Amino acid sequence: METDDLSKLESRVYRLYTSDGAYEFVVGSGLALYALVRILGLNPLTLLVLPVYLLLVRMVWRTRITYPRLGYARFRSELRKRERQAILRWTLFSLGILVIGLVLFMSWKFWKLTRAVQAMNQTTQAPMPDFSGAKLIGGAALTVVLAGVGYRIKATRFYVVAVLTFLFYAASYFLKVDAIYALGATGVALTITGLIQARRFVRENPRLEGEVADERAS
Amino acid sequence: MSELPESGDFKPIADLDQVIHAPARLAIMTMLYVVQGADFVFLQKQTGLTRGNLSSHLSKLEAAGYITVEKKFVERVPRTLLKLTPVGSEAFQKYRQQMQEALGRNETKS
Repeated sequence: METDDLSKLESRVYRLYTSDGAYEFVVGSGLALYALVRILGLNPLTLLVLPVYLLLVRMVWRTRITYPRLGYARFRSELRKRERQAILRWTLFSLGILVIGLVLFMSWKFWKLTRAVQAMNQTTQAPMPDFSGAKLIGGAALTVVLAGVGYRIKATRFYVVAVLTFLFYAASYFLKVDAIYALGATGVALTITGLIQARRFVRENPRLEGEVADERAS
Repeated sequence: MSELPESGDFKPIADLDQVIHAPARLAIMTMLYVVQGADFVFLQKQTGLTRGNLSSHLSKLEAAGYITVEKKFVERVPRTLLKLTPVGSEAFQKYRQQMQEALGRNETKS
């Protein structure tokens, strides 16, 4: 692809296929199910079913909702690779923030712990440091990932979910609830966003009976 | 009043590939150049053409050897996959080049 105009057209068409809500629904329900398995304390092997479920949902979504409305298009592998790499880079960047944040946070807490132990040795009642603040850093990293995906595919709905994610993690910190509930709530929020987006997509793109007509015309 | 173009300035336009030059076929060729392959519904949606119209333009492009039409069944549903042939891709590139040259030449004159 040698010109900007055609590249833009290619990206625009590619982006149409991310407007069906499938990604949000698949990722959201995946996160929610993962959280549910953890909350209910089910056998971790149950999670092996998750990738199969996610792939099946995505396949059925595409064949039943997306392709009958947008049609089928095969994109060049370089474009798919470029899009995947951009999201991967952003995720790694966010994970980098998470790791740096956790290291700084833990160092600070260990410093406070050392101080507390020293204080206890001096027979004073110093409070033990609280490590639950790591939840906020985890939430912030997930927020950055979601905002990054939204920026990449130019979908403002991801920003809303990103803000909600941070709020869920902040709530889990202040209410002293396990962070897995915040992850589950993020999953549910994403799933609902996916369903709303799918509803909008179906309304905006009526089903076309192309193949039948095509057979008749030729 | 603007100066009339000199004779020969429109030659690149006259030399344009008439199979591609029709707006509907140009839209089809552009879409197929951008993606690796697409089905009938995709082209109908993107070009806004009616079924019959699209079918007739596709036949012309196929007759010119610019596209290939592959009919197959995907999960018992018929799917017509349309692709640009190497000849079609080359013709499209040439068309774009000629068009850019023609437009560029007349723009610099004005």
